[in-house]
Amino acid sequence: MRRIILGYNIGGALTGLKIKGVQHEYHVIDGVKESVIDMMLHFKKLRFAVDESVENQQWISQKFSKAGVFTSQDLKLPAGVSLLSEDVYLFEITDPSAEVVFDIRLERGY
Amino acid sequence: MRNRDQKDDAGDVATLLLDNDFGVVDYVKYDVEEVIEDFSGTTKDTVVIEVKSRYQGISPKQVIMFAGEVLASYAKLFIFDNAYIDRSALVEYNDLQAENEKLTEEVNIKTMPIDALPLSERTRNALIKNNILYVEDLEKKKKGELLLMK
Repeated sequence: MRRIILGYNIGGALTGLKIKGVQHEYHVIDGVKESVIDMMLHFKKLRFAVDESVENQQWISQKFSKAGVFTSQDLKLPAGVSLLSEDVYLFEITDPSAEVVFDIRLERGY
Repeated sequence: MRNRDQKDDAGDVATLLLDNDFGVVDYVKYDVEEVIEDFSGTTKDTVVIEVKSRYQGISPKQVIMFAGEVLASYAKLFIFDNAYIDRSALVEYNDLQAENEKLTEEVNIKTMPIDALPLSERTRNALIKNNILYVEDLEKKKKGELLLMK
């Protein structure tokens, strides 16, 4: 029972990130407080509940353009995917003219 | 975090890979407690399972229910509705037990030292002289060999 609980109760997590204009993790995005590495570490904390009907791996596009603090609650998720993690801080846009466009790769655990 | 980038076809965007742990359960502890049911002293065992989930979005109850479903699906593998069973190959438990008892008795007799047998002093000495110390050794000898022994 213990093995089943630990081994089979798996959620979805992010396994990839594509940020527009970013070619490596040491990049700094203009108008964003955090470095790309910090953003990646924040995205790593996210866990999702993924329905059986949803594909095992999918890319989800996101776009943030106004200044302010963005958390996991601000992510727009497709049907069948819901957030398990509490309010996780992701990044802060300090420049109102800045725009962060990124894709996240969501995978169901295995 | 894997320090490895994959260049996208578009050119200016790279896929930053994140390695992740998909588990939603922090730990599972279990304990078996003996509970006295009534004054007659009847007892039964109670299993206490403690589960801590990592996230608020999933409750320990959901975790256990899901695990129960998985276990039930495994148990179904052993339910054969239309399977042909060769009854002649089945052995009754009582027969098997009787056979085991018989075998155990045979082994016990074979390992019995000849001292334990009701033999005369002369016969016993003759057997020991010919290095026959157990019933098993005696069993291996033929009638002719035994008659030639002094």
